[in-house]
Amino acid sequence: MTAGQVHVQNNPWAPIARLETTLPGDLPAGASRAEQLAHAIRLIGGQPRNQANLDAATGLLEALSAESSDPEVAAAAAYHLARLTQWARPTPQPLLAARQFLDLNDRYPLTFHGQLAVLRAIPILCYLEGDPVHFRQQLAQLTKRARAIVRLEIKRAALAALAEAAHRLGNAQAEAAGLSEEAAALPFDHRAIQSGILLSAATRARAADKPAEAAEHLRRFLREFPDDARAYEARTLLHQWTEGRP
Amino acid sequence: MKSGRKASWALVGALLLAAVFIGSIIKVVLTARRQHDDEVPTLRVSHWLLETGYRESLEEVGRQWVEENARQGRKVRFEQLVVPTKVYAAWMRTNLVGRMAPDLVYVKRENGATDEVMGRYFESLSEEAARPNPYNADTPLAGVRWSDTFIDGLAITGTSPGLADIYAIPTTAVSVRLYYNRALLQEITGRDSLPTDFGALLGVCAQIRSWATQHGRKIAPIAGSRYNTTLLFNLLIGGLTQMTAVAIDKRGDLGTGPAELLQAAQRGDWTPDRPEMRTTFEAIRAISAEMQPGFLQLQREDATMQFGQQQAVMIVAGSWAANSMHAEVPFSLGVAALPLPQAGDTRWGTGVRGPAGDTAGLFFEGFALPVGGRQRALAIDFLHFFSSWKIYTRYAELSGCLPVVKNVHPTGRMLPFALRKDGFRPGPTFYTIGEATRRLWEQNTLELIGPSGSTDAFVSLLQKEMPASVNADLARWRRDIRSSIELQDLLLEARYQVAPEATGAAARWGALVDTQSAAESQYYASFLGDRPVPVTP
Repeated sequence: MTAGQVHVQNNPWAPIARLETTLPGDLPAGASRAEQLAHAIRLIGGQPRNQANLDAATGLLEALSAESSDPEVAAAAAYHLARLTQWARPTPQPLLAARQFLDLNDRYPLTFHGQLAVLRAIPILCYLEGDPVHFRQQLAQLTKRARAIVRLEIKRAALAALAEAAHRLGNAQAEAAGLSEEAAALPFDHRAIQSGILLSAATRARAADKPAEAAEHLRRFLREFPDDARAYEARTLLHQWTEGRP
Repeated sequence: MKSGRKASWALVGALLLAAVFIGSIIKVVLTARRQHDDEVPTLRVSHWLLETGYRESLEEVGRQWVEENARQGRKVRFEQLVVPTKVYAAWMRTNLVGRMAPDLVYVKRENGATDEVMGRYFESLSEEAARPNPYNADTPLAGVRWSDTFIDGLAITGTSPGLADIYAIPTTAVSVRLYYNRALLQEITGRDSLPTDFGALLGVCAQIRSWATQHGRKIAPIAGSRYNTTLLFNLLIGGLTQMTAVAIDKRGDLGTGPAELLQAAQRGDWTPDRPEMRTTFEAIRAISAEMQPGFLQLQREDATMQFGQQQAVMIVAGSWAANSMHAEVPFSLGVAALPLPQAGDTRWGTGVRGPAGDTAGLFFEGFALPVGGRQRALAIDFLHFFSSWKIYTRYAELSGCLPVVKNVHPTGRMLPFALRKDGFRPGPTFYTIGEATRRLWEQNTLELIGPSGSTDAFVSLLQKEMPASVNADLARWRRDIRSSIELQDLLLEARYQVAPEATGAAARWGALVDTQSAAESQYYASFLGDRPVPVTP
């Protein structure tokens, strides 16, 4: 048993970490706010998943989010309420959830969940909003929020998500390249995603007519992932883009 | 009366089958739970790998591990439990739920190792994988993080995709090749190796057919069955549609996953009437004509027997079959990559960019550690021992596998199977897009390759039927990705709350943030095809 696992044993989050689907028993009187939050999350993830359990979770989360003396727990509760709006009850309402995520970010910008909320709002607003005229404006607003994120793990994912949206939705190649550049400059934990970020940064820089930056991203990818299955293609592109110059 | 007797016999048959099935399950369970009389700890490992060489090689590694423990003053035992592939997923799940699983369980996504099963019943090996493998001391991999001793850093082979955590230690990579009867090829064509170009391969096939007719011999150029042609068609379609992969890569990461295929198909960017798709269908018609009639009704064993009995010159099969093939055929065996069209080939190469790489050679597959196992320490020790440079080198020699450990080279016999890194990624195939589209393809292949088949008719059929199958696959993909995201929500919250700032903890939830965010972007981007793509002024 590892040190981490020992730590988990007496923690209300342990059953969730183990993805246990059994529903929790009654919440003991005097349960801490953190225990109440864990209880609500177990109700959401437990089986059977029914409206009664979701309603009970919602009630707990609403009470927790209304009390702001403990911003981390309040923000976490508000985050999971927005998640329920996004996915679960009674009909998924992602656009409403996106607004809740942005409100959460406004209220608790320095909490973990307040920052995570920006990441959740990005794909909903970019792909579902359906407002092409204001896309650049929205991109700029979301980018401002993403750049304000303090936790690098969330910031890089938010920048990468924005870059992808700008690239997919067209006519924002300069923004896509710039955002990819910023995301690629931050350390990524997930190697498979990191390699993809570098290659995306290269193709977006190329699309934005920035050949030097594009080539540099490819060189970095080849340095860091020489054994990747896409290395041959990256080498070929580098050769084509630099016309054979090293 | 007659039909009643028939029904009785059918019932007897069904009962017999059920009895045999239940009997084998009981035998497997009893074997798994067999207790020894003494107190010697026994490490039990389960897998389904019945190909020649695998069990024997693993047994040898187990024997060496037992000796190594004895040298360290510990008495241990090693036992393998081989469960047939067809019942493995159900057997695994039953044993995991009942907390009766062996100490190490071989897992694979297609055999029931979903994110949900891995997260719930198996232990993450990420912490262990971040430390050096102690058995690598004094080897070229000394001091290297355990994960970095594998050719992909365990990013693909060891990581359960939706969980962003390492759960498995792989044993092999795989590739698909064309096996051929060297002597027969030489006798018929005068050459002892295959050409490297698709058009030239068809020329060799024509020579073989002509020779067989002239000599009154029943020899087909290629042995076919549904199993073998699935491997063949997958390679062929992927190789001939490399250009399509570029056209539909909306993320710009030089990758083409199922989500991008589905979205491209829905948007109309990937349609069966694209020029390279028509060329691909023509190529499939041409290569299918080189197999015995009715091959789609045949089983893998039929094709292997046809090849072994020298009634076919070639057969497409995987690296995993190499040992069996070498052991069973009575002739000199040649192995080559499937000859694909070259870029610039005006007949067959319209969708080809260049050489094809073996990008699909690595999967999430390997030994995993069930939660709460009684022999946890021994299990990890065995995994360290097995994957250490020195022992794995020996294992690769004995088993003839394609190595997944760095600095371990394939044996001479396996060199033709070595993963080709100098090549482009394959294009989209009907085997990777989703179950409904795959079924559409498999159920209608005869419309393309049968005696009355035609490319035009097949393209028309696909154009009519594919929108429905793509919609079904897209709906299924969205359901799956949502389930995965909801599972990740629970894990992310737990990982963060358990140890928000501890060393290594941020890396674990950070990796999950990356994975989940990428999935969520793909999910919402998939709705772009449902409405006009917004274009900014």
